Amino acid sequence: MAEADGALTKISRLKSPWILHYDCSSCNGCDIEILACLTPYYDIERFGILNKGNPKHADVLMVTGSVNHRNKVVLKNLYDQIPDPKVVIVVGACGSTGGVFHNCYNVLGGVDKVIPVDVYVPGCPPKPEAIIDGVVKALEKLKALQDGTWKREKEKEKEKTEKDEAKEETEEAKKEEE
Amino acid sequence: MGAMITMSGDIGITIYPLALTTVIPLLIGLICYLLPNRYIRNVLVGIGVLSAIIGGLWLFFQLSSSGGVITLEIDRISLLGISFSLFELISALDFALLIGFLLIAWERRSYWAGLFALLQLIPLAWYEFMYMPSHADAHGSVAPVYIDYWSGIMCLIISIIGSLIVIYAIKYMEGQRNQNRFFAYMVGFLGAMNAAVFSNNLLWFFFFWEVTTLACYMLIKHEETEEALRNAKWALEVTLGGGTAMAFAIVWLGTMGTPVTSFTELLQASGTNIIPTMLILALAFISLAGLTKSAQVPFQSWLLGAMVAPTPVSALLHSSTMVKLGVYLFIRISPVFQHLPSLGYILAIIGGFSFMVTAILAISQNNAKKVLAYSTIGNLGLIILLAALHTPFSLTAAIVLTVFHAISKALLFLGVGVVQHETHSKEIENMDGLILRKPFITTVLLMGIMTMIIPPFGMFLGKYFAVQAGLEFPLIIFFIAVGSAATVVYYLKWIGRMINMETDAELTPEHMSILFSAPLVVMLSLAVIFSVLVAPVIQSFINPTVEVLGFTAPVSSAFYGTSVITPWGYITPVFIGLFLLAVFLVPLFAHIDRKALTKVYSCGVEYPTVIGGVYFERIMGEEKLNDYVNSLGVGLIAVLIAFGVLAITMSGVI
Amino acid sequence: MDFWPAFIGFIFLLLAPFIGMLVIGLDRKITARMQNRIGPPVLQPLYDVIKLFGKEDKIVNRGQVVFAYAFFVMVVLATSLFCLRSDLLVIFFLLNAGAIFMVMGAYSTRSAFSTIGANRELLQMLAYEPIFLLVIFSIGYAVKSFTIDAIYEPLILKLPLALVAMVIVLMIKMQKSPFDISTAHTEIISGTMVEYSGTYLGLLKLTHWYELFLILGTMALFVIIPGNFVLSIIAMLVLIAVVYGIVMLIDNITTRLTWDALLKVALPLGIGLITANLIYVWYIGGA
Repeated sequence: MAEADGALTKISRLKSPWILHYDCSSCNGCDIEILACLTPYYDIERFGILNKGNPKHADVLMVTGSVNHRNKVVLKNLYDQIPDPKVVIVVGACGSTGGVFHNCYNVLGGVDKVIPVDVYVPGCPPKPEAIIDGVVKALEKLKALQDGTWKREKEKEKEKTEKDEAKEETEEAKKEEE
Repeated sequence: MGAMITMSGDIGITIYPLALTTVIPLLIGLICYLLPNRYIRNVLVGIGVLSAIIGGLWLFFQLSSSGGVITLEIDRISLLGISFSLFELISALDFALLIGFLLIAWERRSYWAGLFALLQLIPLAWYEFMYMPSHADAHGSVAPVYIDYWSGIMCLIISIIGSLIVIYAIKYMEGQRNQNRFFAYMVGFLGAMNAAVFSNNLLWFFFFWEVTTLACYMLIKHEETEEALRNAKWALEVTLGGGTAMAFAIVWLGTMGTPVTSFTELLQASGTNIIPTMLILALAFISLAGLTKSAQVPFQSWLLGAMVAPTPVSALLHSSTMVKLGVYLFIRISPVFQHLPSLGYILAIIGGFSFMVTAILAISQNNAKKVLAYSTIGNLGLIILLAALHTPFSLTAAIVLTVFHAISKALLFLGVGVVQHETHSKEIENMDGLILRKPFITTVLLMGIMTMIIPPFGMFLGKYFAVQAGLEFPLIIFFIAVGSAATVVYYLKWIGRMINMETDAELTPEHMSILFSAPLVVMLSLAVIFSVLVAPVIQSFINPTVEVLGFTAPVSSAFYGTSVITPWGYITPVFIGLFLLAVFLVPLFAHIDRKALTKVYSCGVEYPTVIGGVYFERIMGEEKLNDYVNSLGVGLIAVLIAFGVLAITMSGVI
Repeated sequence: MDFWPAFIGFIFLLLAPFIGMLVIGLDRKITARMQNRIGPPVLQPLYDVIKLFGKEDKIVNRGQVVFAYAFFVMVVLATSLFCLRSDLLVIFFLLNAGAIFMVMGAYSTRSAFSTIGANRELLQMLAYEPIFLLVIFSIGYAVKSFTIDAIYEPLILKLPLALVAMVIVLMIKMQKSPFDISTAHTEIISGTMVEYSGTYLGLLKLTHWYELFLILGTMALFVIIPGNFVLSIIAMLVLIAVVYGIVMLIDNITTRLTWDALLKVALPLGIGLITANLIYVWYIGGA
């Protein structure tokens, strides 16, 4: 995916990350802080960041709140509808581990129980500066992703199984030759 | 034929195609009425339509080799030893028809129909039995049969499009009762329409006009339900009213100082320096008749009610042919408007107003046939508007629109008919997602609607010409602008209901009888090919027509027939058509990676999406608008009549 | 065809998307400054579209892709005809056809947001199409021809009110408040563009740039001084700056109108302006 793109495409990806903001079951504290980033005081639009409500248009999924049995389906659906390359940022303590709710009967825990997460921004709620810092880290990860210097765990596993299967096939072919 | 029938007068070889297009279908219609056997009847119907097509093509071929005009003087016919005058035959049949209308009015308890029939019977009887014998020159000295390119084009439309519709009707009406009566009137109607467009003599024209009214009544009430009978009665009343206006006009014209008994004499008389005042009044009434036939505002309700008829009837009578008789009349008398521009402007406003208002009303309709009916009325209004503007360019536009509208609208009606036949519903809401269930007919409907609104197709070209024609009378441009925007809205809304599909499913074309699919495919191909090759079509068919009607053709073509040049601009349909073809063919056959398919965005939840259509009844519904529309329409008609009446009092001022 | 006009037209055709992009970028920057923010760099739309072209394909069905391409081709065709100084009426109808295909693409997915967006887009078309057609008609009426190379003097001398009506069309087409019901972001999440992603969304945005170029170009026709190239360019830039400035200002201080308010405000205003202008042209002998 990433290596074949031109330099302009790679730069553009970093200069125009569009956000899909999804609130799992947050108390809205983290959401208010995220929206505060859009205000003139912090103004993340100067980095080209736009808050899109539509997964098909987004690159960055910002999740707040803890995952429970109802919204895990929704979260998975939204994650699947976002086209590659994408990064996931979790904002707040509830999303990272479940926060103060992590032992409740309906809470599964953090967002990483459902989808692979790239950046955690701890806090209850985190300050807008911390959230912006998280976005910058996510962009660095995106850069590494598209440069090919870093792969996600799932992709690593997938490559490993593909390599094993390829090895097995060549071994079988060798056996048949003999 | 030669041994049994002898005719006196100058006939030439044209009698054969003439008979093929008029007499044979009428005879076959008569025989069909008496035949109960389905197979023989279908064969006869096939023969009838084939004869109409061959006759039409032969006639057009003859026209181009005889300079564009053919006149025939048919005085007397000798059949099996008995000699009679064709004039007398048609008069006798006319009175029989009028008495028939009286009987129908009696049977259906329709006071208006009875009144109108009487109002036609009495003046005509007086005129023919008392006035004509005592005035030697009342018969006129002009050939009663006058065929020019315009009649030729109408004949081709009637014969070819009409035949395709009749073939479609064979399959459509399978298993229904009273098919012998149905096909009798359908095929007979083809002959009557052809005869009407060939008639020069006003009384002959009037007879065939009333025959089409009869056919219309009989075909609307075909299914004999309460609703069908009611709507047929209303249609009869309105169209008989128009016929009465025409009857009055004919009597007035025939009793003038120099009597006018034919179209050629009418055009001659209106070209003189001082136009006789009765002529103006008669023209106003003839226009009124044309307006009722073409269901313009405020007469549109009969056409909307006529949609209860079986779909082939709607396609044949109420979109491609019968309502075109009114339009034919206007274009036939269009040279008159050069000398009576005010009359032309009044008619232009009526036509333009109809176009705009029916387009807006169609937005709120959820019955597919009603949408098409409103669209028909609107487009006819546009054609009347262009014909009444009496410039060479607007006439070209009117003829182009007539041809393409006949093809496209018949196609759309037949498509909706197939949908109704298969799914038993005409409601647009029941066509939701039709592309998954019936991809072939949905594609046909989609392409048919695209020929109506998108460049480079014919109907778009008509609108393009209409806007340019507006340069000469800017008032109408407002009607055209709002009307064409509203047209796009209601067609797209309908298309949107049909083509929504959740995911890229494999579409298997549904099984459809050849009698359904062949007419659809042929008509679609005609629409597309004529649209793309519109420049040669205009060059070889339409420009000669305009010239024969007495104007110099303003539209030319260039670059080996790929572009159309008007006095104020130019367009290359071939160029645009090629781009459109490329953009549709290439992605359609491209490979779609299964991995790329995803769900629609419904906020992530898994509930199935339920989608309904919008009809904006609050602002554009019939209940809201009909009162204003009808009152304004009545007002405009009053202006028309007042114009004619004032002409008598202010003799010759206008 | 003469060489120099054709060459200039060709250059403009190549520059068309970039001009559209710059205007949109400046729009975002100046809007941000009006709201006391810094705002994105002026080249931001370029980064957006290139990023979109580099995304993975995620589509709902084949139909929407076909219609997106059809929209693009029609608009590019219209732009090339404009740059070749061809018939304005054909250009208008081609733009129209493009919008029709866009709406069909929105309808072809079975999505609630998309359908509502398409319905509203149709209502918008009902509002701006008559006005646009009337503006082009008034140009034809004043010049006696619809082809661009027949324009012999700045149209603003005869058709000032038509220019104002054209501003209404600009506002509706570019989704500026108060006429932006079709892509009401907070209500229906970009309406007609909801189900498009990646390459096809980039294509839609690119087409949007071409459309902006066309509409600004039509407005620029009002101030072109034939024969004087430099003065024309300066006049065009001034006009676009003034007009777009006013549009941006109105965008920032008004809120969205509902669809019936849109029809009741835009249509009578536009048609009234054009009627007044046509009467003026007829009076001074343009007929």
